[in-house]
Amino acid sequence: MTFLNSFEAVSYRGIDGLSFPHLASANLITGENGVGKTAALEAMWLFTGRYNTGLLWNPHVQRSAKPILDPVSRLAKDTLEIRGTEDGSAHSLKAAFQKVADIDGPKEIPPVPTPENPFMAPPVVACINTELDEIPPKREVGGIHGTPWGSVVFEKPDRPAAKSSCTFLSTRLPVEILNAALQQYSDMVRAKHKKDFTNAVNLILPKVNDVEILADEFGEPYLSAVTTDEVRLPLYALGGGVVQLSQLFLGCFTSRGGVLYVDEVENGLHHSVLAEVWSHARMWMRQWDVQLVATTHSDECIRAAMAAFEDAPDELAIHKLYRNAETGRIEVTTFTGEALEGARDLNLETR
Amino acid sequence: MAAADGGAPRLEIRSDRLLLVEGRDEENLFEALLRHCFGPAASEDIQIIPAGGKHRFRKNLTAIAAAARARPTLRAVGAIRDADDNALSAFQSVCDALRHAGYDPPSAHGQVSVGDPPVGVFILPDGTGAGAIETLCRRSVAGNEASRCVEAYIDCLKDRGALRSRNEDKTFAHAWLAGTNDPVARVGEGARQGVWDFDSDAFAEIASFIRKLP
Repeated sequence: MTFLNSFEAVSYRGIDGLSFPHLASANLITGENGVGKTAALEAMWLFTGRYNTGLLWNPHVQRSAKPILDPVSRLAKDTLEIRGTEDGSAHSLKAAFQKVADIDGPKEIPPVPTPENPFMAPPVVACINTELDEIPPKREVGGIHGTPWGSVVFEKPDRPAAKSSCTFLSTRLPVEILNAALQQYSDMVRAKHKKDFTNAVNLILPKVNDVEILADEFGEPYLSAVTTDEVRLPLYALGGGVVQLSQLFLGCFTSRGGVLYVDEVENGLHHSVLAEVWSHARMWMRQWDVQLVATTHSDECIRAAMAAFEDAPDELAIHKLYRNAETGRIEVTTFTGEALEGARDLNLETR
Repeated sequence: MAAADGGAPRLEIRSDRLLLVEGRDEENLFEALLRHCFGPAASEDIQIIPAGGKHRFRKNLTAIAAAARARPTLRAVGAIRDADDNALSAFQSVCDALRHAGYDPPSAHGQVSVGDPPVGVFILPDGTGAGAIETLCRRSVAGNEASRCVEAYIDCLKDRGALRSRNEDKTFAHAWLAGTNDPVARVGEGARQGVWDFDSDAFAEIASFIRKLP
């Protein structure tokens, strides 16, 4: 199982020095707009995915689907550095971009394969040097990422066999999320949890009897809800709440033994269902050994989470990010255990 | 800030000087005391926070400390608690809770530490004897002729074996409140009506303590 015990963004996206000394099973990151909640979430995801250098180009991290040559430049001033303790052991990741050839601008990919370039890959123009756990890179090519400006090569460290998958649920890129959801849904059905999925959807739509994969008029597959009246409707058309709930369920399943990162966890969910959603989320987390890290703006979401973990305040942590007016740095204060109980007792503002 | 779904408004740390008291009634009383002794703006400058009864004080103080961490300009924290039966024990209990929350408590009742932030502790009524806020209230009106009537009532109950309350100060306070213009049930509510004499010597030490907070 992967469990993130603590985390520090040494150099990442304007939250340099932000440190979370203690993470619980369920974590809510709160704070004003622009304080760095999503940045903290991305950084934690990169950390738990540190054996996959290709993650640096991921659209969830880059916040765009447009191609980019140098992913590190958007994430840190020079070298990206993140640290943390995972399963009780300290780890770190440093990543730096280095040019190895002249880069004039976007290039045409060669139209035909050649003996020198059988895969039609753009010429290598740069590399990502990664240092895992302060061990210098071996400078061996493990992977190659093609961009319009040229290829970027990087090492691919050996991923430990016991490493669990960690999933990121973003507020962006719904189409890609939908496609990923079909794969996750299929895996979940094979694991015989289809009824659990329908029960989850029932939290918002009691009339949904079943969920199937159908194909539209273009042959594209999609998830379809079947009601008690045998009416079939695309799941994505049933509202943001159903989509969010489905993603939460599938995200927990897919991240079993690992960490699920969710941006704006309350999105699309009416306040009246949040208590049930959190109660079920806690159950899924236990069932599949999932650690949850989510951002939220919502007071109702926090209240619902507190209620769901009322008997186990050590399992929930609320991390409030704030800008220190004197230093300008982003810092965090955490409510968990006794402090969480006290916050609930006093009805204290934790956002 | 009120919750969007109509839940009770959230408690926010809005001042750089915090005064932690036991409950809502103490909150009312000390707000009235602040306004009387330091002017109407005092309650804006010093935020009084009901930190829950003595059994929840430690947990609630931990939460307040976590919330106050997001306020690097915090200048001072004061904690006021009833001695009840034992002033020394009450002082030690408050200091333990302060240390647990990461604060540096003072070495004695009525004092303020030099930590960051400075922290002061006051044990009612006077840091030495048993008692509570009602003790100060009773003492504050002792010079009022009408108080002799209430004392006589208490003596009458005692003579007849009818005084069931173990807290005579509380009995006095409630009996005193019953005779006011608009009788209320709690000493704090009475304070808002100006029932207690904040200018009397009884409140001098606590007022001096509050003045001491940086």
